[in-house]
Order: sequence, then structure tokens, then C-alpha cells
Amino acid sequence: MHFIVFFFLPLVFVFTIFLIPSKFKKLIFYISLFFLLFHFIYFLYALFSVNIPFIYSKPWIRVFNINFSFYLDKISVLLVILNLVLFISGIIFSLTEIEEKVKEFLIWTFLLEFGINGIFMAGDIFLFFISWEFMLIPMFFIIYGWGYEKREYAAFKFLLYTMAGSVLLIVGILILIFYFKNTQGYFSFNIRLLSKLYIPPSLSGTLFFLFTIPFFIKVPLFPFHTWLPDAHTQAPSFGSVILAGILLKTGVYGIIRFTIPFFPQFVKVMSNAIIMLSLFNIIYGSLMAWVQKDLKRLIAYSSIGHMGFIILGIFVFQKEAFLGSVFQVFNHGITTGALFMIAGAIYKRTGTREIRKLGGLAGKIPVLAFIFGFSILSSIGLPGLNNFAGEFLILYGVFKKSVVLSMISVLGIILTAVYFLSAYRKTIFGKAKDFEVKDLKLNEVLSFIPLILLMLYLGLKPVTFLKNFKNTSNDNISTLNMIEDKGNEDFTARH
Amino acid sequence: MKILPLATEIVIFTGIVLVLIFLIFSKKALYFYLIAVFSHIIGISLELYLLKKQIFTDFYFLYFSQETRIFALVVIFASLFSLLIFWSYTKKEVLNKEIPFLLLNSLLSMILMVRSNNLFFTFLALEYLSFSIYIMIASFKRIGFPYESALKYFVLGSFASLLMLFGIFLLYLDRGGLSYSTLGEGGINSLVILALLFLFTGFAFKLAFVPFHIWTPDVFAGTPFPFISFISTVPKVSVFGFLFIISKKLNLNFLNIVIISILTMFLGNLSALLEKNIKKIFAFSSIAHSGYILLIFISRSRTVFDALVFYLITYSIMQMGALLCLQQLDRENLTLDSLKEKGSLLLFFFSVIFLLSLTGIPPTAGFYAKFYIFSIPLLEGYNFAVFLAFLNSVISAYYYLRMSVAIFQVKEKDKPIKKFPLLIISVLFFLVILLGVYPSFINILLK
Repeated sequence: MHFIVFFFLPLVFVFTIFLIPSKFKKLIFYISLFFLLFHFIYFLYALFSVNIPFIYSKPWIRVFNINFSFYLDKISVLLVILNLVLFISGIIFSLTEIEEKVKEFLIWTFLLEFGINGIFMAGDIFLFFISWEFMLIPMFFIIYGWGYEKREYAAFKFLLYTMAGSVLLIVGILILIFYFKNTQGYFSFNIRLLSKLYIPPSLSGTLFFLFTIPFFIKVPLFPFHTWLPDAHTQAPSFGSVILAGILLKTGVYGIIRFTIPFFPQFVKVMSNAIIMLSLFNIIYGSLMAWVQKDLKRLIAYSSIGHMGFIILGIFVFQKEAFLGSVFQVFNHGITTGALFMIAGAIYKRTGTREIRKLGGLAGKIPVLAFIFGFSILSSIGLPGLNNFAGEFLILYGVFKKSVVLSMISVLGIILTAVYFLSAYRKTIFGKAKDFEVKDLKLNEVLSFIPLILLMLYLGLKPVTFLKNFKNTSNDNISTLNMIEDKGNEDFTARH
Repeated sequence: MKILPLATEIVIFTGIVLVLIFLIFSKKALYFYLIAVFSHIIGISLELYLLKKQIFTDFYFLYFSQETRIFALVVIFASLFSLLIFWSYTKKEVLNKEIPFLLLNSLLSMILMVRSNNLFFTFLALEYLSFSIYIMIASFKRIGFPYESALKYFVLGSFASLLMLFGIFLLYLDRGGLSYSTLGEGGINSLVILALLFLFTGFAFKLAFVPFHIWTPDVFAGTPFPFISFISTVPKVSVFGFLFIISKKLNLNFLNIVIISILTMFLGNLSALLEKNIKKIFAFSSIAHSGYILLIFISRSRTVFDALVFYLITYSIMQMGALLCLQQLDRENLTLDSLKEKGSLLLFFFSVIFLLSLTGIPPTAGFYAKFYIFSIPLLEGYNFAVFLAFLNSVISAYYYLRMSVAIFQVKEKDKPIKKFPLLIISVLFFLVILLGVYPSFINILLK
């Protein structure tokens, strides 16, 4: 019951904010911050009052036998927590960045949170799709309304690209549902029920692409990545944090939740191709980041490289690599979130994001420079910080599968160090440009604190995190192992 | 009680007569509107009563079944909202006082059309409808170019009627009768195909299917907003209702409906991309929506009816809502740029919801409506057509959202909205959200 209240709370928040007159800008901010903290605490409370996996279901649309249902396993919980943490940090940070149309901004923020939570909590593929589509609109308006100079182009590119992906997904869902109806005699949108369905090879090929490309667009994997640099660069800091921290992860979540359990056989067939693509992603993203002139664009391309690691870890089908990928989903969210906030802070102070025009900031804004350095080291994968553990696990799994693959993918980490450290040298050190800059304000420092603490804690003691997920990865690996016997077993007997 | 099934028609006819009588005593538009609204409301309650009592019979040329009753109910509902929108229109000098009278006439004709049991009677009802609309267009004063619009609509409409009449004649030649039961008998030979081709072409004119859609943008651009929200919804409901009933008797599949439908969608949406005039954008988008609806006629399963009714209701609500929001800006020649001048936060909020619903974004009703109607061709195996149809909603997302962001950027924020339109908008908004999050509501209401 608590999770249902948790799910609908953002709508209450939206309604409350709607009633406050728009001239009380700071008040609206503080109230919504309070709401977010309350939401977070309420989630933890709800978490401890139920067993995980949490299952809830109620009839919704009878014509198609659609249920309003939740299914929260550990991965869902992890992503919801990441979502809330980034929202809290992002809103604290935005307190000084967003000055116009504050009320609208916060309304869209809560609607965005509502949609994202729906994606991770859905137990019914219909609810998942609704949230998946719904989420685009607040994000579109956040980019459009509060973004930088080329925001219109970026916002529409982001929206149309992802909506085109959703078209494939909805057609895939409909084909799958009707196949289920034809074989089982009744409609079902239940994710767990659908994942037990045997899909013949003739159909699973088409369905695999319909179910994978939308997620690859979101991740993004190489040929579908072009929306990302524009959207990330033009979005306001808060938008970039949520885009990189959460929206990319919805793609990974979709792959873990749908693609692999639904089409295990076809996934195995296609895995080598996807591994190649993700390797290409790592190298391509890193090389592109190296040549970027715009700081935010650089971080955006670094995201492409890091997401390549996550996809690689999932598709090598090794227990350790899978675990590493799940861990990396969380780590990348925190680290990239922090980096985008730093880029936003630098832009706000200097009025430019171009690396060439920046320089010698270390003396003027030491706190920002320290946090920037810390986050970069985390992103590179310095031992003792969070990314190291995740990337190490992925590389370990890849190494078990193939030495050559792991050698190529290590190249990505080296390249990360190359481009991030050189960018850091050019912006923070180097010849000082005559900027009149002030250091971080209190709210900005506060917004970085949870992220930095998490980076440190997860880096020093990853075991506390990883032991929770041992079983989850086992489940998914066993899904892969039972590929062979899936066709032989009678569906109804198992159910 | 032989005339009990006819109660709705009688009530609306009485309303027409009452308005005529009142015209002698008073020239106040308020009375006409009141009479019209009351006859609508009584009509709705009678229709619901007769539906619940299941009074289904034949009456000369009329046929009362559950389906025709539901279609009539939807038509009256849409017409009622359209009437209220006309009433709430602030530029009263543009509208003639006879608008309620003409609306009642068109309503009667539409009800007769969906209830008709005979093709010739359908034709008469359609002509009756067209005449009400011709007069309506020509009666708008001091706005755009109503006479040009009226003439265009009249010439093309007459031409469509001509084609239809020729089709009916050919059908008569083959079947020896025009009642639907006669039409359903016997196979399909080349004469019947020719006849249906003519008949369908006539209806394609009325519903603006490609390539017979050219009149729509011109007519829309020359008429005021309330009329656009009328003509793009209410007649569409009745004509699609008729098309559904006739397609049950005569198989229209040989007409390559899929190709016409896909072409209509693409042409409508792609033309709307290039437009800057808001009214023309709505004209093209209504063409595209006709294309979406046409796609379900390739199936003859039971669910077609439910999906069609759901889509028509949803479409009427969201189209009227969006147009009513834009109507509040008090500008008739709206373009994408002039949208940015005035507005309010509330208006922005409402119009975004309606435009998103037209795009088909959840959790608004538009999404579920699209989901529902596109699931039907998929069941028949037209996977690629459905893919193209969904792709079209992405194309439409571009121009619908361009409108929303134009309203989003308004400079003057505090344009107050009048109470009466706000009430109608709120009701429509409530319906859009309700049908989106709980679509079973319609089924509960009608069963």
C-alpha cells in the first residue's frame, strides 16, 4: 500500500505547487525540496515495510485485461533510489540556477519524477509504456524552457528520436500481446507472465529488434546516439543530470527487464554483434570526447563511452560482469550527475562552456576545482572510488570470456583518463583568464555532498552494495542458462 | 406507443419548431441557445433511456439498434458541446443568431443519417446536413473570407453528392432496391464495385480522405474557431457511423482502404508540418485523424464498433478542447508566431494536455484511443500499416508540440479567461484525463 501512495505522491505535490502564487519563487523551491526529501524518506519507509520483490496488482482496463500492477525487485529499488537522490541533489543545485518560471519548472520536475518512478516500478508492460512515453514530455519542456542557446533544436531532436523508438516498442508490445492471446487464449500484459511465454524463432527475430532498438536509443548505443550530445549540451544542469543519470538507465533497465527474459535465445545469437557495438561505443565515445571543445559535450560523449561498458557487461553473460553493470548503472548516475552540475556551475560563473576559453580556475574557485577533480577521478575509475569496483567487475567478467575483448575495453578506461585529465588541466589549471568568479554557494556545495559521500562510500566498501545483488544476478544468469530447456517445457505446467 | 423509439427525433424537431416560433417574438440569441441546449439535454436523456430499455425496432426508413442508438448519443453529445462553444464565443458580432437553429437542423439530419435503413434516405439526410453547413459557413460576418469558403465547400460538396447519387443509382441497378437488407444480399460483381467506388468517393469528400481533402484547409481558414470545432468533429462522427453501418452490409475491403488510410495520414501530417496558420494546421491534423480512423475498417470483428466509438468520442473531446483553448486568445488569424503574444498559465496547461492528447501521449485519452484502434488492424496482420500509423503520431508530435511551446513562451502572462469557456474547458479536460486513465468508463456508461 505504501508503494502506491509513494507512486501517486508527486501528483499531490504538483497540485500543491500549482496552488501557490508564482511570485513566491524561493518558497516554492523550499517546499518542493521538502517534498522531495519527504518522498525519499517515505520510500525508505515503504521499503522496510514490505518484502522485496514487491508485487501488487489490480484490474484496470478489462477489454485488454490490463492490470495496474507494480513489480519491484532489487534493481527497481536501486534505480528508484538513484532517481530520488539525483532529484534531490539537482533541485538543491537548481535553487540558484533556475530563476525564471520557477513554478512551471518545479511542476515539470515532479511530473518527470512521477513518470520515471512509473518506469521502474511497473509490473505491467502497459504501465511501463505509459510511463516511458509520459516521461518524455516533462523532459522536453525542461530542455525547451530552461536550456541554453540551441534548446529548441535539441529538445525536438530528443523528443522525436525517442518517440520514434517508442513506436517500435508499442508495435512490439502489441504483436507480443496478440501472440500471447492467440496461444494462451487470453490477454495479459503482466511482465512475469509474458517472460515465461515461449516465442518461436520466426517471431522472436522481429520482436527482438522491436524491443531492443528503443532501449538502445535511450542507452544510447552507437548508431542511435546522435540525439544525446545535443540534448545534454543544451539542457539546463538539472536536465542534464536527470538525462544522464536516469534517462539513459531506463534503456538499461528495459534491456534487463524485457529484452533478455523475453528473447533469451535470440539474445544469445545476437550477443556477439551487440558486444562489438558496445566496444565500438566505448572507443568511439571516448575518442569523440577527446576532441570536444564544449565541456558539457565532452561529458556527454564520456557518457556514451561509459554506457558502452554497461551494455558490454550485460551481454557477455558472466555473473561478475552483470553484477558490475548493475553497480555501474548506479555509479555512472552519481558521477555523471556531479560532473554535469559542475559544468553548469562553471558556465554560470564564466558564461562559457568552451574549454579553450577557460583556464586557471583553481586559484579563484578552489572548492569547485576540488569537487571537479574528485568527480573526474571517480569517472576515470581511480581505486578507492566507486567506478573502480564496477568497471573492475565488468572487466573481470569480460576477461573470463575473452582476453582480446578485455584488452580492447581497457583501452576505454585509458582514454577516459586521457580526455578528462587534459580537460581538467585546460580548464582548472593553465593560464588564468581574467574572469570575475566567485566560488560555490552554500546550496551548491550541499548539492554535491550526497554525491561525493556516495562516491567515497561505494568506492571504499562496495561489498555492502554488491552483496544485495548477488541473488539478482543469479536470477538473470539462470534465465540465460535455461534457454535450452525453455522450449521443451510446457508453459502452463510451469506457471 | 409506436412512436416511442422516435422520441429523440421528435424532441429535436420540436426544438427546431420552437426556435422558429420564438423568432417571431424575440431577437435575443439567448433564448435560441437555451431552447437548443434543452432539446439536446432532453434528447440525450431520452436516448439513454431508450438504450437502457433496449427498444430496438424498425420504423419505415429508420432502424433502431444498439449501435445506431450509441452513435446518435455520441452525435448529440458532441453537438451539445459544439453548441456551448458557439455560445461561449466572445465575438458575438461574427455569429448569426440563427446558429442554434442551424445546429439543431444539422443534428436532426445526422441522427437520421446514422439511423437510416435505406441508402436513398441516407443520401437525403446527408444533403440536409450539407445544406445546414453551407448556410452556416455563409452566415459568418466580418471574418476571413466566408463566402469563398462557403462557395468552395458548396461546389465540392455538390460534386460529391453527384458522385454519391450516381453510385446509389448503380447500386439500385444491380440490387433492385436500396434498403440495407437488400444491399447485403447477393455477391459483389463489377457493377457493385463501380457503384461502391462512386459512393465511397462521395464520402471521401465529406471525410476529407486523400486525394479528396483539398477543400478542408481553405474552409477552415475562412471560418471562426467555434465552427471549426463543430465541422471537424460532429459531422465526422455521424459520417463514420454511417460508414461503419454500411461496411457491415457491404465489404469495402476491395477499395484498398489501408493504402488510402496511410496516404491520408501521411499527407495530412506532412502538410501540417509546413503550415504556420493554426487553423490550417488543425485542418490537416483532422485529415490525418480521418486516416487513423479509416484504418480500422479493414477488420470486421466485433471490437471495431467499440474502438470506433471510443476514438470518435475522444477525438471530439480533445479537438474541441484544443480549439476552445486557442479560441480564448481572441484572435482569428492565429499563426505560430502570434500564439506567443498573449496567454495565461492555466490556458497553457489546458492546451498542452489537449494537444498531447491529440498527439497520443499517455496518460491522456488520445493515447488509449490510438492504442485501441491500432490494435485492430494488427489483429488482422497488418503489422507494417500499424507501424506507419504510429510513426505518423511521431510526425504529428512535432507540430502539436510546436503549438504548445509557442503558447509556453507567451510574454503577457495574465490574460484572464472568461468563466463560461473555462467551465467547458474544465469539463473537457476532466473527460480527457478520465478516459485516459480509466477507459472502461465508456463501457460502463453504455452497458
